[in-house]
Amino acid sequence: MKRIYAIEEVCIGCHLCEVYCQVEHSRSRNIIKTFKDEVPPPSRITVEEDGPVSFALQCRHCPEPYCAYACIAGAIYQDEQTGEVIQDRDKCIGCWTCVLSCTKGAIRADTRGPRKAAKCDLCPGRETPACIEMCPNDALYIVEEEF
Amino acid sequence: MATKKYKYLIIGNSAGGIGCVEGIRRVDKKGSIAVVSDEKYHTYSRPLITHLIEGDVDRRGMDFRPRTFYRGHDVQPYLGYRAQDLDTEGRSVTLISENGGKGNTIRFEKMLVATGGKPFIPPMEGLDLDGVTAMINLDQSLEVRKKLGRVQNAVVLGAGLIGTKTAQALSHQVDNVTMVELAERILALVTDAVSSDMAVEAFRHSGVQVLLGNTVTEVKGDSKGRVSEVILKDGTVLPCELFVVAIGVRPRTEFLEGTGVALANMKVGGGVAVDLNMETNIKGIYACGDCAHAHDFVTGGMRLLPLWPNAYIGGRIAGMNMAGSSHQHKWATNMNSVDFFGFPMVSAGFMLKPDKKGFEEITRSEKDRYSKVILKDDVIQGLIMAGEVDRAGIYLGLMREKVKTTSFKKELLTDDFAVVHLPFEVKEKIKQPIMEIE
Repeated sequence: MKRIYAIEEVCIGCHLCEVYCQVEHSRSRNIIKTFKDEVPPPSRITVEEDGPVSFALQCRHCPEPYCAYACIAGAIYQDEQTGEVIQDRDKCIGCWTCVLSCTKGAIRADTRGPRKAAKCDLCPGRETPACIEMCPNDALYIVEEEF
Repeated sequence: MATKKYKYLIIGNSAGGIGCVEGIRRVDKKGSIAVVSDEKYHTYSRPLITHLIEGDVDRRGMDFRPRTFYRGHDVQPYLGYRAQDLDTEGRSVTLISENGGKGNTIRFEKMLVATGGKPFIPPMEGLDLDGVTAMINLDQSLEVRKKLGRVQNAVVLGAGLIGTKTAQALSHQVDNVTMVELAERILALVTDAVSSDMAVEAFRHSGVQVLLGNTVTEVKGDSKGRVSEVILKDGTVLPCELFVVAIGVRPRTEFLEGTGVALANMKVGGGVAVDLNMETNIKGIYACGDCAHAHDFVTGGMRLLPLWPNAYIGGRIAGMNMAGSSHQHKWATNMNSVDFFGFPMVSAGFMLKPDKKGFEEITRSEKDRYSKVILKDDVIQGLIMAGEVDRAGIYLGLMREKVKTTSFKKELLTDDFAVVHLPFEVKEKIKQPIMEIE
């Protein structure tokens, strides 16, 4: 199971992980076009700050995924091989039950078009998720854990 | 008439039944499983039946699990069969097919009852007219969809979850939709006066007529036996070609009458009595979902909680326990999430501040946004977020963990509220994945 963690002491609260998460999940995948020509998608990672303390938080891909258990559309499931908690965006109807169920506050409402929940998908197709690759201070890292 | 034997028998093919299959298979990869349902369909998402009418979900989109589910989980489905003659000592049931013919006798070692709910239909004349229906299953939804062409006026009686979702769906397909509710607020179980008003406004803004403090007293039909109008308590006459009755759901427990499986008192709505393991008074027989009680982590008591997440998790825990694990279902409370015409609303626990010592409420009110928490001795016991729902789950987590909010109570509903401001141990726990279901 791949999981992304933040190093609180190293995070400088620059929010670039949020920006690049938005770019990665935009239509154009181009930073200028994403913010100039498109309605940018919600970031699936959230930087939290309190004075000198800051960290980024996204889906933990919980071994006991309450969001998947609560989903009324069968749109969230746990991959049996990888343990990854996956959202089938086509099946999502935007009822926000997962938003209420995720105790990390890691699922966002995407209201750009047809209403859909948005959560970390570990950037399928990329070797390293965008948030990790673009973090200027190496405050994010990915680990392979049991699930 | 053959006799078949399975290790696990599951009555019900919706959230609870599927949760049970997945729970069993997490522990026991081999034990034989049979799933029985009187509905002939592959498992579908019941809360989406109104979306089928609205048109934003197609028939295939209703599938709750892929079509390979039963095969992939080594399950024998008996779809279109009703179970009866439960013998709790001999551990058997008889299956009756749709046309009434007796089918197999099924013997089992462990059983889950996840029979769901049935609509409450008031004693009223005219409810047998064509064009009058409840809205709790796929057949009813498909039937309404077929009739839409000749419906210009629709009336929905009841503004609970089913009524509101039905009215919303119909408004996309029918010229005139009226929702009639006896109470002074809609969705009474999941709103307070303020959030109800906001939701009503969303309905009215989208062209749905909402009549509160009123009800239907008479249903009239035409010479062809089709519904033609309903008459309200205040005398208003509403012409309609479709009349949906959605005033409530009751546990469906007839199957258990006289079998020795204990039911809860009707004063608390009935339903199968279970313990935290989801087991009934009869060892090896479990129950979950709309037909059964569940533990409410806010009130601390056992009650009916006819909600999808409760059914799924109750079934999953029952399944794991049936297969020999030991888990307790402590993740249920009154929790709901809806979106009406782009206006989102979530809620959990108490909606109104109980009139008792130690309770207080904090609210935040803006033009298109409203939020409220109800606290008891600084522990959150109620939540409403309307208009803006992002990060609502953090509050639900604090509720479930019974976290004292004393040190951050002032920030609870402000823009500053975030995981980073929570006490160290709480913050660190939230940052970690949930590993155990209890």
